[in-house]
Amino acid sequence: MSDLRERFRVLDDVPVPDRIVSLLPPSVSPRRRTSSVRRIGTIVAALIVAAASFAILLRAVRPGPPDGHRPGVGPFSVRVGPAIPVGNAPNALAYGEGALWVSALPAEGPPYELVRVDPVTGAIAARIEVPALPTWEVGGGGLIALPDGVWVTGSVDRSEGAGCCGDAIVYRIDPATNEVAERVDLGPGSGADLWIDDRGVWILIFDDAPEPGISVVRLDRASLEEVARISLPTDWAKQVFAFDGSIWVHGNREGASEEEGVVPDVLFQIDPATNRYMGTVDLPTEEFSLAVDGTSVWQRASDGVIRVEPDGTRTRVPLDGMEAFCCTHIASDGTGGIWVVARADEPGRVQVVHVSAGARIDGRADAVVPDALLGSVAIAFDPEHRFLWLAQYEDTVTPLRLVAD
Amino acid sequence: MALEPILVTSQDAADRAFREHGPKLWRSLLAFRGDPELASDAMAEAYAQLLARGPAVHAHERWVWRAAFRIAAGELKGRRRLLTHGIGATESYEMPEPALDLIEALGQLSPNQRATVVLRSYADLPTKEIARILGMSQATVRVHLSQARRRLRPMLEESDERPA
Repeated sequence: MSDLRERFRVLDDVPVPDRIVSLLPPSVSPRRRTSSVRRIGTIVAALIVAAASFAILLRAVRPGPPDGHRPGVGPFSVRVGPAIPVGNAPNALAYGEGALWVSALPAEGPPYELVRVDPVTGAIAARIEVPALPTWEVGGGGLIALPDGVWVTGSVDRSEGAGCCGDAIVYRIDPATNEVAERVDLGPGSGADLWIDDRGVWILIFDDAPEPGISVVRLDRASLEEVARISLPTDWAKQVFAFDGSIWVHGNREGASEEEGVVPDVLFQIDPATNRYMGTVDLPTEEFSLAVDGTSVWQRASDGVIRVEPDGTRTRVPLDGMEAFCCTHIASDGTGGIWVVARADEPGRVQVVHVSAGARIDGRADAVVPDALLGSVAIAFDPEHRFLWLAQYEDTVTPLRLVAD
Repeated sequence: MALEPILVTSQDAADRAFREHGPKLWRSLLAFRGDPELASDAMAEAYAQLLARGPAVHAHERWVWRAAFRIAAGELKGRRRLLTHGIGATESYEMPEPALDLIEALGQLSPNQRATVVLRSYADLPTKEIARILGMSQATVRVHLSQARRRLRPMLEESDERPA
């Protein structure tokens, strides 16, 4: 079975029901039905199984933390908090300025709302009308909470017939007023992710014109004027971040796309001094999302996690007992280490492991969780309250409280 | 297959859209949801809405695909809830065995993986068009497609190897 298209042709033999045929103009006639009868219900039941495996892509962004390692977190327990309905489909999370910020994409398109959640009470503190939301359907990205505000990149629709897709934008929400305080339009394309440090605002863009491609747009941090636009030799990318003095983009190896497939196993390096693309560093495995915080880059592996150094050096941290399940989510702890969430061997349970900046496992616990939580699509760490926030595809976010023993 | 924007000015134009895309759309919806009744409901509702909107809809073929898939996807929560309570779908439908195997394999994918691979591999739509229909970015479409293909291929190979 080498060609899926060929395999899908079997659908042409499926008879269209009379009810539908009656809607069609007379030139379309019904086809004969075949003799095989089965319950379609079994297929729908399979959807339940599929839903449980829906957690795929993830990321956690905590830009600009100080260098240096901190002591391990020590023994802890995991308590599952109540699911908080946020509406629509949450696709990105960020914690900052005492709030959890949730991007939840409405199925019907605009108007878009960024949801502000009080992490202590779980109450919806604000629903902020915004021009766009992050465009990744799962896995987070495009949303950062900093002291000066919540920054978001995405795309705004163009009117029908005006061309493809939309225009990339980046904007900032002032947490004091819950209003859009600044907005920059970036031209044809779609904002995929962003990173902000004292050197600028770095926005990863899927270009739409003149040719499809991937660029990083650098804005001046103060004026938000465009300083540079750096094209990368790839057709797909997921994250932009700073690490070891450079700006990095995680994406497809050049020429690796096979019929629009995605093989994200390369980091593209940009020199902020010259705004030039410098080259690539290979990742140990292909991975849709990395956990980064400015001091470290982590990715999942089949049996644990891997820390990647700027020179490509890798430190593998096997996680005993999680070989078959590693890892549903990883999130930066903001100080060089990561939190790892994975299904436990026992149904309905998750394990949470903390791996320190020194690649040492220094805390581990598990907990019974609702099925929906196993299908989470994005994660964020709240260091203030020591919550791991998980977004569930349908319409909720749920905290895992990390309680010191 | 590109969906060219065409202005709907009459019942004839809407009929033409349906004649050209109706059977393929219905089978795509069936593959997406695995339920012929739901596929029929979504398609009928989309067609009814197209007629009701008349000239307000410009890119009518794209509109019908988008509306039908949105309507079909919107049923998902309710249907899952019914199954959770043990009520399950009870419709039976006569279907060729190879198609049933394919639909069963598709049932193992997430809804978005399923939608993208059906629209790409069966409806033969370009990524840009799939992004418009599903209301997601092209980048996201490609992620779902890539994952869907990776998961689907071994499942279909396994079903090919099963004795008839």
